[in-house]
Amino acid sequence: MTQTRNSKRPAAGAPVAKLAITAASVAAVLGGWAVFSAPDYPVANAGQAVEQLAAEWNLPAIPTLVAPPDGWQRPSHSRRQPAASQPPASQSDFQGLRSVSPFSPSPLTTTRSSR
Amino acid sequence: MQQINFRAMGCQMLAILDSQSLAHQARLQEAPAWFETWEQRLSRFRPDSELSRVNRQGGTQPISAVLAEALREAQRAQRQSGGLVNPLVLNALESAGYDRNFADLPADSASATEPASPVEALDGWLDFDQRRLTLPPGSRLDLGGIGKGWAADRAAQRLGKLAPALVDAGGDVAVSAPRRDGSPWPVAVADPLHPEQQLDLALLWRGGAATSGRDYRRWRKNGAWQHHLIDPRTGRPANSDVLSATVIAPSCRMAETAAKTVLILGSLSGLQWLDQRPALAGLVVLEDGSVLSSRRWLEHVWR
Repeated sequence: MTQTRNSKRPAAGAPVAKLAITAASVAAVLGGWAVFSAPDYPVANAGQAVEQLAAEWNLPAIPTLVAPPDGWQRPSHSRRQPAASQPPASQSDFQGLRSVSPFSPSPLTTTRSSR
Repeated sequence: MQQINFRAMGCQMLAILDSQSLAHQARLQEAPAWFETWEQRLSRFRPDSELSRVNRQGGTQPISAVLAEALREAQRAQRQSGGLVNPLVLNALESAGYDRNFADLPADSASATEPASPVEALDGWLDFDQRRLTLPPGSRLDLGGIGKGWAADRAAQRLGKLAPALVDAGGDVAVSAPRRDGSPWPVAVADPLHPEQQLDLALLWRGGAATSGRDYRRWRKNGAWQHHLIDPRTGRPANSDVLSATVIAPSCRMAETAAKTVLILGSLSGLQWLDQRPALAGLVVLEDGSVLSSRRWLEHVWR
C-alpha cells in the first residue's frame, strides 16, 4: 500500500525566515505610528510657513490644503496705507502695507455709502 | 442667528438677532414697522411726514418725541463736527438738484443754478424738554444720514434687550453687544471703486460703523457732477480729495457724523481730526484710489 505524503514540506530554515519577516513588519508598523503620532504642525500657521519659505527661497507660494472660509475675498493690499504713529503732516506719513489674514471670518454685513 | 431684510428710508435694511427663540423671531419681524413709523416722522421725501409739515410751516411749533430725539442728535452732530454736519442744509441740497427720492432723480437735469451761500449755524432752535422747534424764516431741515443712524441705534437697542443684535441701515451699522459666544460682529468695508470687493474687515463688539461717500448718491446738474454731502461753509456739495470715509465709533449716529465730517474736511485734516478723538477710528479712500487710515484703525479690524 502506497502512502501519500505531502511533497511541500517546509525547508529546514523556513521558521527562522518567517520569524524575521514578522519581526520586521511589527517594527515597521510601530515605527510608522511613532512618526504619525508626533505633534501636528499647527494648521493655522501652515499658510504663513509656506509663504515664509517661499519668500526665503524666492519661489512662488504653493497653495495649502486649508481652504479659506466661505465668502472670503482677498483684500486689495496694494492700496492699503495705515497711518503713521504721529498726526500726519502729509500723505507720505501714511505709508506702509497691511496684510489681512486669509483665515478671517466671513462678514455678516458690509458698511458702504448709503444704498 | 435670525435675520430679516427689508427696505426703508430709501435703503436696504438688515436686522440680525443672535438667538434661536421663536418669541424673539416674532419681535424681529416687527423691525420693518418700527422703521416705517420713524420714516413717517423723519423723512423729507414724504409730503405728509412730520418733518415735511414742520418745514412747510416754519416758526415755532410743537414736535413729537421721535422728531425731538432725532433733532437732538442732529444738534449734537452739529456741535461735535464743529458745524460741518448741519441739519439745516435742505435748501442747499435741493439747489444742488436733490429735490426728490434718489431713485427718481434724472441722470442729468438742466435748470437755473441759484447762487450758493453758507448754511447758517444756529443755536437754540430746539427746546428738547418742551418738545418745541423754532425754525428761522426760510430755513428747512434734512435729517439725512443722522436720521438713519439714529434709527439703526434705536432698533439695535430694542432688539438688544432680547439678544445680541446688529442692524444695518443701508450701510450704516449698529451693534448692541458682542455675539452670544463673546465674539465681535465681522463687518466688511466695501471698496467704493469696486463695490463687490472688501477693503478691510472691521470687528464690532458694540457701537457702530458708518460710511459716507460720493461714489453712489450722485447725479449731474447742467452737466456737472453733484452729490448729497453738503459743505455748510459753501452751501455746495463738498469738494475734497476723499471719495469715501468709514468710521467706527461708540454709536452708529456718531460714526455717521464723523464719517461725513472727515469727507468734508479732506483726507489729511480728516484723519488728524479722527486721531484727536480716542473713541473714533477711520479709513478713507481717495479720489485716486489710494487708501489711508487713522492711527487707531488697526485696533478695530481683523489681523
